[in-house]
Amino acid sequence: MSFVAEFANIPRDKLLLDLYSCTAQDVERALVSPAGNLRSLLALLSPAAEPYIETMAQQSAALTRQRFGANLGLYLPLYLSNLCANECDYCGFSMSNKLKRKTLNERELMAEMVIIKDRGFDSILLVSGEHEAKVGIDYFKQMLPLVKKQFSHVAMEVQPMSEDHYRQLVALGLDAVMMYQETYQPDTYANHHTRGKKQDFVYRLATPDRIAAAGVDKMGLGVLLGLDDWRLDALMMGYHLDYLERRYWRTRFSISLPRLRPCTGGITPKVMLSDLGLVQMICAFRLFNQQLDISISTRESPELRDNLLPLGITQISAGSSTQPGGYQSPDSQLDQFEISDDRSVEEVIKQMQLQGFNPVFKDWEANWIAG
Amino acid sequence: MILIHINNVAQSLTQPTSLAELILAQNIALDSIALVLNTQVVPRNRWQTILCQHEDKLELFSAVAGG
Amino acid sequence: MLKIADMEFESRLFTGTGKFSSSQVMLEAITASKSQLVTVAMKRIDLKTGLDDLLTPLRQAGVRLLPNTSGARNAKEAVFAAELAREMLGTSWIKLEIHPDPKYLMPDAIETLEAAKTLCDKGFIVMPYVHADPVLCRRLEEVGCAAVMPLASPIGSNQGLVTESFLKIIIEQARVPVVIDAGIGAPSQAARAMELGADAVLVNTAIASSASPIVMAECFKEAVQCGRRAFEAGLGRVQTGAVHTSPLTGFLNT
Repeated sequence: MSFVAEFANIPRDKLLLDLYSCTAQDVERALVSPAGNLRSLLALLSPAAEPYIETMAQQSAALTRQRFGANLGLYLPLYLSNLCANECDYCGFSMSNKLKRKTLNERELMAEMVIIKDRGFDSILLVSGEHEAKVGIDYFKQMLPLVKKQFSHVAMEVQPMSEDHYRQLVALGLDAVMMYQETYQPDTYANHHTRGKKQDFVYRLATPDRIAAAGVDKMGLGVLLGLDDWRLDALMMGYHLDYLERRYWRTRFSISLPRLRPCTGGITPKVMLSDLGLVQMICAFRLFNQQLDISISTRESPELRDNLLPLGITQISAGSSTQPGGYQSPDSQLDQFEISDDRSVEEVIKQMQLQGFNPVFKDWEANWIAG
Repeated sequence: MILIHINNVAQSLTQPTSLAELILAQNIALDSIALVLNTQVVPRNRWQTILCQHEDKLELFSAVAGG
Repeated sequence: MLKIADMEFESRLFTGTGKFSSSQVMLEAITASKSQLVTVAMKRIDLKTGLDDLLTPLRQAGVRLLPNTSGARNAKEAVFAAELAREMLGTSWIKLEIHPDPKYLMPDAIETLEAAKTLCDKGFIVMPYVHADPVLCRRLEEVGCAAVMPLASPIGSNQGLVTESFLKIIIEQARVPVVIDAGIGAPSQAARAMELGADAVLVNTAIASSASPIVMAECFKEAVQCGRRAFEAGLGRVQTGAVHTSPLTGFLNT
């Protein structure tokens, strides 16, 4: 049993119609009992909820403050490799892109980690393209112990793996896995993923089940906002989250809200997600799920990120590089996507503190378990 | 003659008696009880064929009102 | 419609058979309640007094019987009781209750989980009576229970939804039906339980010990229906703080 069976029974066409026929009354009803209620989530993601954005923001901010206090987690991505055996038209790492390919060796990895540690980070997100042959389980098993020595919380965002491989990585200290479906619309998915194993929509869709079954402490879901109708994709992610949380109740969950951005040889978004829409989505998910971690990356602009701080997000990256070896030698033109907020971590922290937030470099729960 | 116990009451039997015959002799309807023979629940379909043995301990249970 | 295991129920009110003044009153009350699932206990027959025939009238009334394991003080006794019940009544449905504490009849979580696992493995349809403990309910769900029956307050206490905060969590999380059991003392409390989103309630004492059990049974029937309909219709908002300014989202307009 996995989400695949459940997904087949979700009436996506009907939900799309529902999203665009929601009324103000539906939204007001949703605001009464939004927690854990997929009907309410639908209403809060609908265009009808836009006039209620301040009410949603107030509730979202209060719920977030109640659950997370003033804490805001800081993490940094560390790109291990830009090798990729897939063709995804929105991504700079696509195999056909003329791009210098690089995979960090142990020495290069150490050099990156020294810089990141030096900036104060204790939580790291290891990122790679999807190249099973050259950057697969053996490579990860070689590198993970080195990373775990330096960071108390280690997350990965790489290709989907088998339950057994996840289990092996958990034994080496892996704390979290990010597995973004990109879009929950199979046709759109097929249009954007034209070569490689990533074409297998269903295998990817069942991956979160394998991650949880393998005992990974925390898991991140996400859709690439702009590939398809972001409201429907966000709602589908809500269904997925709801399914996972009920079934794997020991697991912690996070979501990421990456908006499609220009990249080398990239595409323009089919459906634009405005700043208002992004705020709406953050608040809708906070009202739906009080304990959910919500991440915002440096894809967003400094001004917007500063304004988003109180609205429901709990994790933020700062001073990111999105290329392998990028902390040691920036500007080597290997980026996955363009960064909008290129402020240093000190500047971001200053802004956080100015707004009364407490920057946290550790993931508390995982750290506590590790003793 | 053999001696058996039904719900902690001793009873003697002078001839071979099946569990079913024994229950009917107590004026108890067969379809409303469960029977435990020497701590084992005995399925209804075997009550006709199992004969009481010396020192058997039988327990009869019925449904009663409860919440 | 409520579905437990593969059985569908029109009525979301389950009743018990205990504490009635006579079996005639019990039958009339159960009939008035429109309940379709009725609990019975099991007891060693007293050969001197014989047995009073509870089953025949209940069977005639057409209700489904849910035997319980009351009297069991540990998992082993409960499993034994369940097997007895299956043999006696020809049903694999069992309300699992284990209370070693004779004073308040508080359920033993540890023994209950162990017994639930054994009984599910043996193919029983297990409905455990437990504290309003959300984690325990999830564990019971994981071992295969068909429903969970968290208590509202101590059995027979009529105190109502003392555990409401925890019941809400259980209802929010459960993937199996949640039947609120024990302590519901008034129709308004049953209605409240249904408004929270409970799948059903089990009421015994409040009906049986009323001065007019048959009238009370009808009241509970209506309260449960009413609460359920209110839940399905969606309750109104408790407070609305009007928001005139936009301090948090004003930046979107600039």
